[in-house]
Amino acid sequence: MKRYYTLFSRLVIADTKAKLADRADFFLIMLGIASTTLTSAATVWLLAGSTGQIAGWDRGGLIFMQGLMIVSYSLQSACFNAQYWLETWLKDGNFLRFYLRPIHPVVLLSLERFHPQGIPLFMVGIAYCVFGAQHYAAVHAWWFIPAFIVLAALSALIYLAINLIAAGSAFWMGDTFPVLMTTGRLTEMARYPVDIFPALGRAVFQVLPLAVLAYWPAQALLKDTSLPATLVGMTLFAATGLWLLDRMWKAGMRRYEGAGG
Amino acid sequence: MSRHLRGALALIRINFKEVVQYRSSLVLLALGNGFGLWLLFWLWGALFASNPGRAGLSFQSALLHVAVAQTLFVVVQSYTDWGFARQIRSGAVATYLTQPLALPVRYFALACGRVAVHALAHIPVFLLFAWWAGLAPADTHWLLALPSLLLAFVLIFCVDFTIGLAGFMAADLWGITASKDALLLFLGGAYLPIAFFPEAVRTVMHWLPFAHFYQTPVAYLTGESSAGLPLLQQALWCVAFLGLVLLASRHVQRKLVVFGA
Repeated sequence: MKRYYTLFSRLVIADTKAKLADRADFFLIMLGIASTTLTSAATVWLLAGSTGQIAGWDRGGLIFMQGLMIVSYSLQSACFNAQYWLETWLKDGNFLRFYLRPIHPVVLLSLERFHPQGIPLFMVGIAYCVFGAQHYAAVHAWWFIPAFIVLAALSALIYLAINLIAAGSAFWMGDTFPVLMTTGRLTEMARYPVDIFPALGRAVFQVLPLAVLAYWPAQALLKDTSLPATLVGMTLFAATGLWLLDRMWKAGMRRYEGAGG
Repeated sequence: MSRHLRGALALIRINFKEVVQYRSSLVLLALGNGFGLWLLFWLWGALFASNPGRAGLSFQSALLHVAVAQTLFVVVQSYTDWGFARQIRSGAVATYLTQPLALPVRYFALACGRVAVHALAHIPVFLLFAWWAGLAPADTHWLLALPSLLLAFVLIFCVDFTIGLAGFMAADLWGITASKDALLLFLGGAYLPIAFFPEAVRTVMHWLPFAHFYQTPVAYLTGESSAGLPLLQQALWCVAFLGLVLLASRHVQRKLVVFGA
């Protein structure tokens, strides 16, 4: 484990230096983060209109959910960005090196690339959460910050499992672009309150489990849903997601026949 | 028929045949888009449930606008920016420069082939959704809508091609393509109709090209507008963008150095 952290810290330093050295890249990444986060928050803000609400959630709550989604995504964005290379590696045989090291493939994936865009993304997400939650009484409670940290971490693990399971479809499919696109469209809707959907939509969102990414933690942190029950539920979803991810990738690796045998 | 036109038509035909081969991917993408439209139905339903006259629009007209705009977005996605940038970096673009077809014409023809396949995959799903949701355009102005759609496609292609040129200065294209999509969808009226924006912003946007990417053709398709002036403005912006593309393309070709070529 110590060796993993040593290697990972070296990777973080090297990749961050590389991105910072290329000023055009750095500027464009910052531009990308600013434009995507600002336009999505502005969309929610304008959608709320003169009533300032969507399905009983005011602008603050909606922006808080938006922030939670960004915080959750920042883990995948920074540490598991190499997921987009998986399909190419499987096709050109580069993935074979994953069989040669006695480390879990998902851990190896995190050692492939560190993308520093995850850091500003995380900061923007936290800023949205602070801005959105400031008018809620719950933020003054002693448990708010520790509960936020734990729920955001669980949400990030669930988000990661969803995205890596989608990327893992590359073991069975030649073209994963439609799977990743559809996953992106669905997770994008997870920033809205699940109450807007009919019973079928709510059931789909609970099972996938998109409702768990922002809606559940926002309910527990800002409204009156039971925090211990939410913690237990999210822990179960995170454990199930990671277990499914492990099984899926291992099954995929057993099935894969790389170029050259 | 001129040699250039014959070459362009051949490329359209070839790319159409190539893209249409990925049937399972197209079906998955179309289903994902259909599911996304279904989720939009409930989101906009929740918005209008609390305030039936938001931004001076009815639920039906707002949903029709957003559904048409989002379908238009997935149809006109040609990924010219990604493909062109990749070919600049790999040096493959040198081969295309030896061919008698101008670079922008080549990529435009390829984009036309791809977009035709996307239209075949996504329009039936949209029509099915419109039938299910009970959406029907009150008065589509086809004589204005069809040229406006073509001009919108040309505008989007111009932006994509110019962004592809960023392959010269940036190794990581995510930032600029994400910014482009976010800004064009948000300011172009695809995330939400421009009627949702404050009055002052709408006045400023009247002088900017963004509305002509989605808002103008969608307004003609949905019967929101029957005035000829937006089409004229769109055509003028198109001429300006085409001039920009030609200038940028010439400038870059003078600077292009490909190792081994």
